[in-house]
Amino acid sequence: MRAGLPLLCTLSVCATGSVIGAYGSRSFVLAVTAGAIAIVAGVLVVYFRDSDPALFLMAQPCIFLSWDASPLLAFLFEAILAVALLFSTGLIQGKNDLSYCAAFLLVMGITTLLLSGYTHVVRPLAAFIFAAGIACILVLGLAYHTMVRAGGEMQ
Amino acid sequence: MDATRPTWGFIVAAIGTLICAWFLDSVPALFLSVFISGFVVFRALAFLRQAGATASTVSLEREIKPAWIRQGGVAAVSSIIHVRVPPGLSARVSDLPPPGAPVVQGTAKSELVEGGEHRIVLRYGVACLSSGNILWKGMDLLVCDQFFSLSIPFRSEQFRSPMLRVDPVGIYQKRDGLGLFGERDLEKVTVLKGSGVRSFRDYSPGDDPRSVDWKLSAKFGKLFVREYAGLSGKHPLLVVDLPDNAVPCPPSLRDTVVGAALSAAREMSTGPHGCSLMVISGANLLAFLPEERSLHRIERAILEFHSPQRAVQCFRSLDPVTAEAFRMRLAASASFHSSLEKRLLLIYSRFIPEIRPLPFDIQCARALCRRGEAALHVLTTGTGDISHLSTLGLHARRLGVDASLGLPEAMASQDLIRRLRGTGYSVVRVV
Repeated sequence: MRAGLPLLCTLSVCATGSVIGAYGSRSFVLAVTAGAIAIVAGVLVVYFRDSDPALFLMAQPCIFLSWDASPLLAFLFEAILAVALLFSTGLIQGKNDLSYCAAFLLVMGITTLLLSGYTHVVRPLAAFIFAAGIACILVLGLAYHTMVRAGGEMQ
Repeated sequence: MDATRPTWGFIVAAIGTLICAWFLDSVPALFLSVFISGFVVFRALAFLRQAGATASTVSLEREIKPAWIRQGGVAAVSSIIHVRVPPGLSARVSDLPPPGAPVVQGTAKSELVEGGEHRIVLRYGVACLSSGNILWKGMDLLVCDQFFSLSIPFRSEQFRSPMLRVDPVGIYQKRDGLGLFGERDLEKVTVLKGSGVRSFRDYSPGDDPRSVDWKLSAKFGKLFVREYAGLSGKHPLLVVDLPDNAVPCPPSLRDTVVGAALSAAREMSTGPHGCSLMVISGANLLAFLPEERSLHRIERAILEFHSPQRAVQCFRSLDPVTAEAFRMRLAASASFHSSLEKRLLLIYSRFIPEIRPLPFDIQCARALCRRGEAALHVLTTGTGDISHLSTLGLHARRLGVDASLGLPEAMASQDLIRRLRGTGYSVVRVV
């Protein structure tokens, strides 16, 4: 079995799910088109240039369209895709990996709930930029700590 | 920490959807942007944690053979690295040789290893272009996964050892003759045997069987023994003059002198009298090893003092004997000259009894008047003050010791050679 096939299957499931979710709405045709393009492009990627992150990104338009049906459905698809991507790249193999992943999905779930309640974008966007800044500081601090603890000094 | 191409794709997608969300007032686009950026942040945190765990398992055993080589030689290095890589991650180890020691054989970088417990063996050779005691720079561990890569430097002492000792290269030019210092065969029997055969004679009981010439004996049917020529034995004193650290001196000059001294001392130490070595820096005696046979002690004495500080400077110090000669010359002609010369004579007469010889003068006299010191060989960089070289040459001339001096080619100016020849050195050569 090819390495990217599990993620391709996940992409197909998400694309199909978004089409089903959009059934009866104005964006149905668009969802069918986006799903078909994503699956065809996914097949091409799997057979010509295997790249799991590319498959993950290809599924995003379908998830975008499924938001109208239900924000929770969009989150569910994202969660499935993210777990499939991590599994496919071998980054979920231990309890620690699972706990990190669970924490991430929990935070994202809460964010989805918050976002779905707002009608305007500006306030959550400001909150997101603030949170992203905090996250950047956290990542840089951890990177510095890791290097100093291992090497004793910076290069 | 560096992001891989897929991660840059994620970042671009997140920024793109964020811009869409901003301009199109789209909540789903904002959701996608938040989710993708959150995914990148989550992976960064998880990766850093795993990279730290990997770094904590690294241990290194490095072996260098030989641990003591000459400049330009190749040392074989074997580094064994133990590392445990978490599943999903890959790691690569790079050993970092010291500056001035490029890798000439093999490679100091491992292949990328996947998750699991690994014992990585790196075997390579480094050419030692610089001299002295050199330490490795350490090692680098590159940890990477699908989304990020991080190079973790290891620079602590345990990752820099062991020390490689590199001796500077220098060639001591032998003088004309048989040995290192111009020994010659003599047409007479002496205690020291030369390599030439002076004559043959009939064997008499008690002769050393090793001196029997079997080819000649077989030809004439009776035993003949060889009579060897005598060797004009010289028992030299090698003086190494190290540069003052207060005077700028290029490292190459010092290395040339130290290398030549090591070369000469190694050959002398195998001789019948060992190596008599005096290490000085200006008028400061740093080490004196009379008739030393231990090569280790000789090398330690030469290499121990890198650029010593000269506590005593004897610039333009007046030798009592020379001063007395001036005084006598003035006294002989005082009646015919001006009042200035009369005053000088008075100053010399009062001053000379108060002149005390420097400790270095006494040390030189004692070193050279030892029994059998027949030659003096000085190796110097020729930088800074050369008064102490004059003192040495003067003592050698007084005691009838044949003195020669070697200095690097870069410093061998005609003026300096002329001045040194004037101070008592019969031979001034380039080393």
